Amino acid sequence: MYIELHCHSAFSFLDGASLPEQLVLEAADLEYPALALTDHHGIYGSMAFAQSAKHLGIQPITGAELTLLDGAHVTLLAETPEGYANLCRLVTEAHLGREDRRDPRLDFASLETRHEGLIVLSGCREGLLPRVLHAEGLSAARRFADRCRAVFGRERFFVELQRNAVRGDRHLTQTLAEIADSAGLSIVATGNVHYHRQERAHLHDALTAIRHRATLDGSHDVRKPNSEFFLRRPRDVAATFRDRPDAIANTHVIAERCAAFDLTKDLGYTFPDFRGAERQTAPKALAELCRIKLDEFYPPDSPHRTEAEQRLTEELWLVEHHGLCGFFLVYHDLFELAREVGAEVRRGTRRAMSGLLPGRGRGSSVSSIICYFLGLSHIDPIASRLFLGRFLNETLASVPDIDLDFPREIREELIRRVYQRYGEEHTGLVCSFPTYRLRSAVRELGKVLDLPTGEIEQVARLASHRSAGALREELSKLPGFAGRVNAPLWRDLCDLAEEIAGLPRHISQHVGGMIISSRPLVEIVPLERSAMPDRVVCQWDKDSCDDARFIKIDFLALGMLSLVEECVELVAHKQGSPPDLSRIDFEDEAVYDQICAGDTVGLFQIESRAQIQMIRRTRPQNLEDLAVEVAIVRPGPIVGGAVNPFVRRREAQRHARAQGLEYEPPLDHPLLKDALAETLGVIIYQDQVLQVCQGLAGFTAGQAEALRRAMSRRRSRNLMEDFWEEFLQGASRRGVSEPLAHKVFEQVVAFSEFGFPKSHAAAFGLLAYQSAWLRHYHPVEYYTALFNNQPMGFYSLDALGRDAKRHGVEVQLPHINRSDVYCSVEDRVLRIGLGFIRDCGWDIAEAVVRERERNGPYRSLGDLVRRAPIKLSRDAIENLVWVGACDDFGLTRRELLWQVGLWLPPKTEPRGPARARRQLELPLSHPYERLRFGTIAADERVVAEYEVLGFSASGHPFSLVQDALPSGVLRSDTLVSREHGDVIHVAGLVVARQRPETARGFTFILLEDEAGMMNAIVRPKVYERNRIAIRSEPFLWIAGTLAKDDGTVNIIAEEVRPLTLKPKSGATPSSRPSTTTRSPYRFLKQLRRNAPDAKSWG
Amino acid sequence: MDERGLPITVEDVADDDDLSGDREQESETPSLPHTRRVDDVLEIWRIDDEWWRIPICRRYVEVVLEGGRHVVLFEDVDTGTWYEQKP
Repeated sequence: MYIELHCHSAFSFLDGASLPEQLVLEAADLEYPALALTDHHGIYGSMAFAQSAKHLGIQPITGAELTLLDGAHVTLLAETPEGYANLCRLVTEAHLGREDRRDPRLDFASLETRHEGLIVLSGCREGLLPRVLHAEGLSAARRFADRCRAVFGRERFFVELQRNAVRGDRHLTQTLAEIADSAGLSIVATGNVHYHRQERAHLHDALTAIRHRATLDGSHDVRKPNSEFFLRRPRDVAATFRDRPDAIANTHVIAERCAAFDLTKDLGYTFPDFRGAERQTAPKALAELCRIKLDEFYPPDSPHRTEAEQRLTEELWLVEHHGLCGFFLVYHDLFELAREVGAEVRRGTRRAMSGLLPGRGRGSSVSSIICYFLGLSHIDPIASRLFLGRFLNETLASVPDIDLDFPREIREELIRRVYQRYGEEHTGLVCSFPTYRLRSAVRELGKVLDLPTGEIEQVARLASHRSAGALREELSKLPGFAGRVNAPLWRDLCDLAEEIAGLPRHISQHVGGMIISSRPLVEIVPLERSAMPDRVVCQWDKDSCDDARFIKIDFLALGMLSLVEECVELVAHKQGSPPDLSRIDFEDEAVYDQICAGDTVGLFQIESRAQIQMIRRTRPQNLEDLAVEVAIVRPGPIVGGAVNPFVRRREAQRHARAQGLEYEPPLDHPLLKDALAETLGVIIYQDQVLQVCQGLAGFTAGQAEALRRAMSRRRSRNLMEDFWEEFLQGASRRGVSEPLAHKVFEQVVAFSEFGFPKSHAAAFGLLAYQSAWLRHYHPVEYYTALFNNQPMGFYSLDALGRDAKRHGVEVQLPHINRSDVYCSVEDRVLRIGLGFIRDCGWDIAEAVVRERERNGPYRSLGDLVRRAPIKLSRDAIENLVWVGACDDFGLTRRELLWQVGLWLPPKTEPRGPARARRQLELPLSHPYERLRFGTIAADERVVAEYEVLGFSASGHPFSLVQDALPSGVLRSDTLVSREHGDVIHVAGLVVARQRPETARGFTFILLEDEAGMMNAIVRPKVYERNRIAIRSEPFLWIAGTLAKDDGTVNIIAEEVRPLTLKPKSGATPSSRPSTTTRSPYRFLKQLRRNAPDAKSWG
Repeated sequence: MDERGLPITVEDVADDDDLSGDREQESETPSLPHTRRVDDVLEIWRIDDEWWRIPICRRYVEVVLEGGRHVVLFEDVDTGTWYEQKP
């Protein structure tokens, strides 16, 4: 029986065209009893492969194909746990021991010293022996075979023979077999599989071309010569090797030997032990620590004391039951380390005394009172009535996640410290695998097929779907492309896109997951360098780490925390002391009024177009309401149909309360009352999914835990649907009808989509409120910090700047003698930093500011050119002038630009890396420096700001073209006074464009005009008719009807077109010549080129 | 080829001395005047290329004819037509 021992999956990154699961399924169909996965330089897909293989009763064999320093390949298979550890170390060495992280290679000497427990195969056509044979001849190959036998032993080293119908195979394999025979080595047949089925060969060709950055035509030499690198029927392979049956028999021998190692259970991972003082046991130490905090947080007179005591007792029991006391204490230790780091990072700053935590908990761990006591959460779980079961329960199958958010700079340093504390060999970040989606697939496959770049880019930009598999459907709807679906090359593009969908493209870094192991992690999973300097990632993603039962610690960088840190510092600078955000008034009506009015642009989590619409109708009044706001506009509740019922019931509740009545929300079944009463009868939080299953279908804790795990996995919908039978049976036992059970189960399964646990929403709701409070009371400081911490959130700087103005904050252009590197506060003014100027950059801006601080303000353009760092290029100086940074020198911008030309050589003249100086060391006057020029026009200023800063600080461009807007266009601030159903025309700059998968083809466009923002809803038919304008135009004109509903105003679009402006009429000169444009047409043309890209989702 | 795709001896193979100067010569129905026995099959290989344009899918067989001359034949996999590859 033949067993495949040399097989690549898509985790050979662009050298494998099938997922591990596809290979396993095919192997099952072909009745393989075992299969090896041997991806290049790693075991990225091995855990998923092993899980999937075991599920189908196939023995998974773990291995990898490594490249040696001379380029030769060698195939390694893990025979024993020791061999697996060696494999991981060797793979790690191949990655970490190289300068170029993209070219991992292993020294053969390392393999010679670390091969215990490994089976070494001599490799493919580029393998050890074939290369020696090819380069040095038969005698050298024989000597090398002898050496391999001496080093590895004849039991461990096999000469690999591959017959893929490649010319030369027969001669090569016969020669290799002779060498093996003469050296007393065994031979083994392998298939060098690169895809599961023969028809995938085309995709493999395309991937090879992508890997070599070539077209298919240009990659002939590097592509495989034929389509014979698929998983063949075992008897076909056996027939191919009928002259050497021992090569087939040995595959079986090797597979049997490799059965001694099972990746799914032989890893030996353990979390670092708790090392208590005076040999104190972990349970005792944890209990003592918590009891002290209990008295501090819940003094005897606290209304929550009794409940807190009960919760603590329950949690301590659960934690001890699962043997997790040490785990919690190590976490406590990590948080203490974070405190040290936070103190160091903040030392010398005013916010050091603000009482800011180094980080904050998020996720389900926030519901734990132990986490609250250990500092891992900042939310009182008793007062907030947080459900524990999502985080900790009696039948917990895996160690619970504890996620912590940190400001960026603290997180960076903390990760370094964790490396130091636990050792580099014991620590690694979790990786992730970006997969092909429609845009990336179209761009990369389009290139290899040599399709016109412009057309490919057009398809990528105009496409609405995210899945590459939908390209055919997408093309058939795209104007101008419908006829291409069956055209040569385009047809191939569609076929390939379907196949490439979901395949991993490369390895990347998970947002914050970190693994710490008491046993060296390099013996459990290989490590490699991340694209970020000094970062090391392990080769498994979140799901594989979960399957391996690793404890993942999430250190996440949260931009809003960095913003809060900076804002607190700026406030402290203004008023002498920092605000204590843990003691602000959390019931402040003024803050809630602003939130309820939908004035939330720039705030944490409640600023999006959809959130603003929601918030105007639900009108949150406290932190609990804010938690709902944070959680409700998520795919889980949306797909589950929770949103509209919640909004309606919330309104009904408000009306009832206004009349002094109690409101009883309708429930699908009385058994749902405990779980859903607080959210008015709908499922909003992940925890409620479990509570509903327990309440309505009597799920045991074990079933609930299994469902919880299913909910957090990739492709969780299928996994969750598997619970239907159990759910139905349980519900029937409780007298629930099948239709009702089905209806509720649909809501449960909807949470296979993304949703929040309540604890997470509570933590984020608190931060949302704190951001609103800071913005309300300290707007200049808040917007300054917001500008400095981009990118974050839903809006561009352009939109944020105008929102700042609406809050009374004046945004002023950069000033060469006043601006700092970053944005700064000048009384009620937000001054833009020099680092925001194009071609300037943070380092150069810092040098410009340093020189100014050292030797005084710049006095003239000549002075600036003389004193500024040499790296400040001519382009950067011109940009400074264009946006008015040098206006105080007393000349017009044109005069200043003229002077730049006097002092610095033309851009076309060859010069050094920055600017060459011309007679600049002495402050001499230039004979032509006093020539006079007029100033630049208002429209030129706006265009310059967009070009140089990426946003306009001078105001909305429409302020200059009011007279030229199409007839009948209404300003956004007049819509409120219009009637529901009115037919209207509007125009504006596209701020955001959303086409959520949950919206059944509806598209939402956020437009901004001079007066503010407005929301347009585009139905699928209108979208298809106007797709090009919607997806590609920065300025739009929309005709539609007005839809007004309880405080929200929307435009239901009927027609969407690119904005066109009327030519300026000579007969009606503007009354404001200084603020209008000279040629509206030209102005719009320039703006279309320079306007900021709309934030686009879907 | 047998049903497993393995080579079997073929009787009628054109001797290129009698063929025109084309680099590839179709021989779907071998009815050529001079034929030779195949003494040995040296190698079989396959080529798949240019599938995005006009696909090339060929199975090549290198044989030794009686008398010692080497000949490379190929089958167009899509049509089943056999050709002789000229050097």
